Amino acid sequence: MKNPKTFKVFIVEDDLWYSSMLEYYLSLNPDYFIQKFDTAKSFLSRLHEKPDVVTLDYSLPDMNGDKLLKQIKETSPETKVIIISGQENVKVALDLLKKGANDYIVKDEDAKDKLWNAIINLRENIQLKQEIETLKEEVSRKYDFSNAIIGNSPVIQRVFSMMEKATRTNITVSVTGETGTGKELVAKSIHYNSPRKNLAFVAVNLAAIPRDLLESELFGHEKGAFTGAISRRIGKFEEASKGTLFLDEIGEMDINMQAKLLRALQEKEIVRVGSNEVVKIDVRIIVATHRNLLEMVKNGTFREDLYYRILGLPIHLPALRERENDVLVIAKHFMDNFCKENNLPRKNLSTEAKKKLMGHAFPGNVRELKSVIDLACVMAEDKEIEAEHLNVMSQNMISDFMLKEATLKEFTIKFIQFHLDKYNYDVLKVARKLDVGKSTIYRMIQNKEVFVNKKFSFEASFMN
Amino acid sequence: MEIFMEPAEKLYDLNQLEEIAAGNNDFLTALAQIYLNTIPDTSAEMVEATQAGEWAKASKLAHKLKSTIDSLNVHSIVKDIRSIEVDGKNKVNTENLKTLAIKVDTVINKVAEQIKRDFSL
Repeated sequence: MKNPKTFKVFIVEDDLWYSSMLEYYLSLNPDYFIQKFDTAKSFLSRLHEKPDVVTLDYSLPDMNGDKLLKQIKETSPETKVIIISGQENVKVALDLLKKGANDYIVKDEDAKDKLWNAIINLRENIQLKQEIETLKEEVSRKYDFSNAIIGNSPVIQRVFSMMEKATRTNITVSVTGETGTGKELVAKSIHYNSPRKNLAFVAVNLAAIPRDLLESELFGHEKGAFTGAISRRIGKFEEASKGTLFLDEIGEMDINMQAKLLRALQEKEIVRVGSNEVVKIDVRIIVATHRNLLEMVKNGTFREDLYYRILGLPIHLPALRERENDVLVIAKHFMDNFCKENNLPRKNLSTEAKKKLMGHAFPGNVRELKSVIDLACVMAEDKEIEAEHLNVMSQNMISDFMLKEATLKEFTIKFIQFHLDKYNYDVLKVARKLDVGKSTIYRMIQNKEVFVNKKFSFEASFMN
Repeated sequence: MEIFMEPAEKLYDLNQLEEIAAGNNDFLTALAQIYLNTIPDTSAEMVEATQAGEWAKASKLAHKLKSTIDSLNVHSIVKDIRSIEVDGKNKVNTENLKTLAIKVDTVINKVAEQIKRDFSL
């Protein structure tokens, strides 16, 4: 950001008396650098210095204010211009404001105070704009793929490749994955790396909005549309205009609302609740769910036409347990960040701690890993994080059931169930990993010794 | 037209400028010097313009003098300088403008004398 001390104000005024007065008055603010010019020609020769603000006398001897304003806007569009005129002429003032002047002040006894305030306001405006630009750059950096999503596993590399494809067009993106895998992070990364990055990213968690309010939340409402609608309010579609609308937990949407959403997506237009007026929309849609939408279509709880409308480019986020060594890479990233943010010395994972993390199934995925690591950083007194500092849910630990006395058959069942849970009930993958026949596992499933559904497998493990 | 004023009557005040100066007398002296160097000449030019019937030029010069007259609160000619500016621009009541310009010029020169005296310039 520009040093505030270098805030440059040029006074263009042929009346030496008046310009001296302004120069003296404005220089009472030590943050301003003031320079005065008595002709348009002398001022234009220094315009390349790009002053922050120009106070411009409308009636200069060598060029009229209109023409000079145009030249300023062409050469230094960021420069703010305050017109100072000897006469109050509303028509001229409006015309100049339309042409890009930022203020119009009449030379009267209050002029100096008006000018003082106008410059303060413009300066705040400029600083806010600069802050927004800086923040935008920071957000872009934050959501750069390599900074936002950490990992080297082939499965996550495939996700990066799909995300990159998603940034190039406006295609609708559907992100699936278990809870805590980073679906919103993916949506934001796509947005902030796409041509729409300078416009709004609006996220709506459809599961968190009461059914009765969802239509108004998405499409907006007119004053008096329903009890409590005390004023007109735009909805999320309009809020995200020319940007990206992220519809999280789309599988939770009521079937009636699905029809309205489908219409909005198909027609690219919405109607606010309580209005007849059609509003055209231009938004990029990214949806996410942890549910199996195709299964829901088969069950009749999700509209097939909407399913195909939102499917677009599907990106499936793998569960953390499927991402091999990524768990250690991400753990290190979280450790470094937590220690930096909390002014703690950097920490490492001991060999036992690494083993413990690698052995955990992480049903809560990256979100769970972050919470485990943050706590471990707090608990570990020394530089090294030990296994005992990692507070993970015991039903997912190999070591936990290994410690209990059981028959070989019971161990086998628990061991296979653990791997089924870990690899998302992919029987073929588990058979490969454990080097057993797939028919052995299928037989155990048939005998209800192991389960390929998380709910039942947890229940089974509790019952045992 | 006769200009009635007591020899000792103060034709201007520094209230507005003192407020800006906030105790900085150097600034007031610098402005006084600017007045002496520029304002009587501009005023003389305005008188010449009215004598020559160059009403638009007279109007522009009156416009230029206006802010100085206002900030020094030279109240005896505050209205007159505006009449010259507006009527000159619109080319109306031009028969009075010559006289008004002379009146304004006389006061401006009197103010110059008072400033010289007050600031020891």
